[in-house]
Amino acid sequence: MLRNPNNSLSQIHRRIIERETLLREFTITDKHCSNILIDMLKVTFRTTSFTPNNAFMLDDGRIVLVVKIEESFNISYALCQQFKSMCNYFDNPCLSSSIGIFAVQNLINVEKVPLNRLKTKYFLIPNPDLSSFIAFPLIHDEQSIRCGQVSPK
Amino acid sequence: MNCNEIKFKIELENFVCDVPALSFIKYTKGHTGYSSCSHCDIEGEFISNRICYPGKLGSLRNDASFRAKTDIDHHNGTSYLELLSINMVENFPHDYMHLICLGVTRRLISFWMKGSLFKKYKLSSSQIVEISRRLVSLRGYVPREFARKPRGLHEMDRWKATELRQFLLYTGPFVLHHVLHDDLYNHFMTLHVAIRILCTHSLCKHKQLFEYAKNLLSHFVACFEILYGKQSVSYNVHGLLHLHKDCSKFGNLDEFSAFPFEII
Repeated sequence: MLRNPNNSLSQIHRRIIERETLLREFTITDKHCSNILIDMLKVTFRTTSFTPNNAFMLDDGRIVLVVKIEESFNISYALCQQFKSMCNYFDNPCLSSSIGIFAVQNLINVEKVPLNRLKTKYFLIPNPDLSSFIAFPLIHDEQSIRCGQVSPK
Repeated sequence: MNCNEIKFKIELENFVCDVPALSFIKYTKGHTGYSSCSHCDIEGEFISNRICYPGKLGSLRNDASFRAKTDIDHHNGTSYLELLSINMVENFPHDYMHLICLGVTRRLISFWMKGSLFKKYKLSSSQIVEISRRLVSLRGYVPREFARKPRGLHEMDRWKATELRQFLLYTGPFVLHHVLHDDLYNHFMTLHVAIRILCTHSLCKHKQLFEYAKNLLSHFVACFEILYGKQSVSYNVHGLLHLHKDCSKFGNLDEFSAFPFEII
């Protein structure tokens, strides 16, 4: 785990996090996926074809999982699986859909969409039975990029 | 300002700082004082060895009343900032990182964890373990936009502001569901929804939702007094009542938060 004698605790923490993250990502990979990291054209968030960085809302309001990113004729496309069922996660104090929060389940067919149609990045929290997810739109990082905390690439 | 013989005009938009720094630069009473609210002239009450602000808003301060020192109890002296042509009340907004994340959210969690055994809001140790288990189970699902992965509640004293923001805006509704008492959960959800609206650029511009967030925050503060006691309505909790005014002037909460200045 340790690569040099300095900051040993930080190194151990990083190795544990790397293992957790990498293990999850490799289980999702299939032979057609490549680890492409493409910066969005309009959206400031970055996407990969691996969970947990592949959940997005399209400009038409559907929530999708990006399974592959490819380029043809100089246009970048994302192959997406759409969540068939989208309903409110809570209805008190207001309908969760009115602030962009949904309970989603049932992934269906793969669709090819241009990358610039991906509108908002989502944080998917799995329910204990793993059959459905709670989808929260990311709302904080965009601002920190604008304020200069994170440099957009 | 002159730089390479080019004149630059600099305008101060606002001062972002925590409450002790705010009282230092404005030369006013600190958050433990009776007349310390920077936005209204409410007078605090001394209950259970602390100053608290139960009840509704006092009459609002403005630049003229601040400079004229109408409420003499609020001032310690005259600040040098008064020499500048700035609004001494409106240009000093409440900072969302200190007020909500490190203030109200952390206070709520500490009530649930460390409150008196006889209080309704105190969680049992098995409930705390369950919440911690749920938080840790989410570590593999956190996108790269988050600087930190969720940690268990037993490390709550060492949680950073970003972790508290993550708890309030994302993980909280899930990990507390069916663990926290319904009244307390609904109360937490009013804060969650209100802050989500005020943090989101597009929702904050929506007139009806903005008004709704304002009402939710008023409801949250009123219920805070009922659920956690009069003595729990601290400076931070009272500050929520003024948040909408800062948002209407400067935009969403992230526009004037201290997050960009912090090492996360």
